[in-house]
Amino acid sequence: MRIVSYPNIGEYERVVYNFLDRIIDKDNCKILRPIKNNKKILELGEHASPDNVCTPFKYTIGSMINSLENGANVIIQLGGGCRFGYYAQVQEKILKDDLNYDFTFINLYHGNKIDFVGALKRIKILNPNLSINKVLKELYLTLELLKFTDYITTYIRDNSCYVDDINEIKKIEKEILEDVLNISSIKEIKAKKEEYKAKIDNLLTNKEKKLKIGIVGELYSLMDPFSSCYLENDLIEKGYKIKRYTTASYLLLDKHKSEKKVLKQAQNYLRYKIGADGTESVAHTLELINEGYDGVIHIKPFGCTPEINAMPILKKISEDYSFPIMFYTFDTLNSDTGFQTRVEAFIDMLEMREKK
Amino acid sequence: MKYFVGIDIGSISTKGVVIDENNNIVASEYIWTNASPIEASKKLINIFREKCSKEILDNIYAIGTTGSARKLIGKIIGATTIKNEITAHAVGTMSRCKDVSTIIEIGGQDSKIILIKNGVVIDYAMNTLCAAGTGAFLSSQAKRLGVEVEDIEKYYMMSKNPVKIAARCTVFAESDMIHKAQIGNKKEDLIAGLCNAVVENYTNNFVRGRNIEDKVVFQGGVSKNRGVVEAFKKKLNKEIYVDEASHLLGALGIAIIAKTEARDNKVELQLKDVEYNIRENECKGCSNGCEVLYIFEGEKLLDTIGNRCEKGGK
Repeated sequence: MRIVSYPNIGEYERVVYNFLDRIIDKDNCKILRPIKNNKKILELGEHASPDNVCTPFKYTIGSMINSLENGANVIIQLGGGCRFGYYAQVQEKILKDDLNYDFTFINLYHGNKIDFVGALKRIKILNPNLSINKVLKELYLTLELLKFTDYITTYIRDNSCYVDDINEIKKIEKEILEDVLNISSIKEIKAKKEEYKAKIDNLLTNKEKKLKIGIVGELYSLMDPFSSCYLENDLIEKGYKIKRYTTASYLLLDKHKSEKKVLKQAQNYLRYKIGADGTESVAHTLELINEGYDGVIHIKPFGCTPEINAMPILKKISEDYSFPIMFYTFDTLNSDTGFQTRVEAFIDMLEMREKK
Repeated sequence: MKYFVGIDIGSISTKGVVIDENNNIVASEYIWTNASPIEASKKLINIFREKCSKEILDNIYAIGTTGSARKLIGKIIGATTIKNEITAHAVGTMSRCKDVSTIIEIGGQDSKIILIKNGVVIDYAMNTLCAAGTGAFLSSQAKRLGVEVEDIEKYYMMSKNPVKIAARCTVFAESDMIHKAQIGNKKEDLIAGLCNAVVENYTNNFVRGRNIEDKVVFQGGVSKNRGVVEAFKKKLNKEIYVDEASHLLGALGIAIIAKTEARDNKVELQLKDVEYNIRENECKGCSNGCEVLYIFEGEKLLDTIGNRCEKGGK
């Protein structure tokens, strides 16, 4: 029996589950859903990782160890444009050589691109009868599902501040996330999209002016609530309007298309790309300033080089536009008090400026 | 007359003030926290109850807490306002000194800079991760040299030739200092070097890339140390103002914020004489494993901190 698992980020694990559930050979293969990131995952990851590696490496390897301990024997991992491109190789080595786990490691990336042919070959161990047509068909549905999830969660994020009772919209979000596990056709996605959008629109009754805060930075901290001490959630609960551009569908589907546009937006400060999402952090901050946002919070995990590149440029922008930007670096911290103190002070500062 | 209380529970010391409607301090107290914020707050409140007249105690309309233990103490004493120390310090200082532009604050475990323009905070920074160059460093090194913290000033003035001590990191600073002591430097030169190191550390961390404009106000516990004040004057080449209540400005700030948020009902300044038990537990509600702080008043669960959903905190 093969038991397949994969590291988690935010709620995207549900989309991956939906995909795998449709392609595996159910008689010989099971899916072990990864648990959400928590302290235990971080601890497991910390022990297995080199000290100075960036924090998402620790989360993902911790998540893998947790799954392996719970019986998984196949692990899938991705890669990306920064150090993330080497995560899979290094993690495989650590897990197999250092920690002596016996399992099959499927790396879907080669360099920093999806290696489609190779990936198909490797993924066949989950279902030997898998045809290329079937994978393409299911992949199409999964990408649509991903777009749907991001569309609707972004819609919720952008509009939560206009809801009178925040718990109502949270209930809807929960329902959506449950649906993501089971949706099985494009038609269903379309229907759900309409249904939920109407439900959310019904709740938007509060028309007060809200403080507007943008969140930019490194993708993992942005998309995984635990690794940013639930920053986004806290701001939403306090009733501020927040905006974040980075989502999985942006990274996988739109990023390469908008490269030129992003560089153009940032042209006064950057002439070439600074790696991973660094360029976006700069461009999006400028966009937020143009849109009349009150402040920006820039977050990154310890050791994230592209975002370190972006920081001095953001400081310059902050000076040029006298626009408040707060910086914070997350590592394997156990207490979020310090972070909360700074965010609170930042918001007090924005409110004070607003009143003047 | 209405009265308002502000309590600033810091890592090293606990400060409290009682103010009237015109922001005048009618009572103040400064005691050591001794790593036990609940005991310190109990003591502080008892002192106020003895010191203040009945007229004051019967007319308290708001209590605010700030400092690193603000949430815990705020919940226990039923504070009406709980706010971070950065805002509290800014508000406190601006009430005493309208034209302030730069606030330098060095406390027991943290240091911060707050820049103000036209009465609005425009920028702030707070040390992250490391307590180098704060009061804790000064007092531990003074102890090593067998000097009382209060005497640092005297030694600083005596020094003619301060030694140079690496300022980036407390551990390196300490080994540097031991080395300088072992090659026979005078005690006063070592102490002057320490004060300079605190200032170096501060300017390296915060001043770089920022414009320090007049008027500069220096506050927090370390500002009571004239040695460091003199070192700052030399380094920044500016006049440095130290308020006579510079160690209380956080508490004053939170009292003023509490005043603006006060409602029309009176509150009692009291801490019940029961044992408060704090338990930090991992919530078992789901796989998130949130760390929840349970505050027990005797056997009764008073409140929780860090709870994120309806499942937790039971």
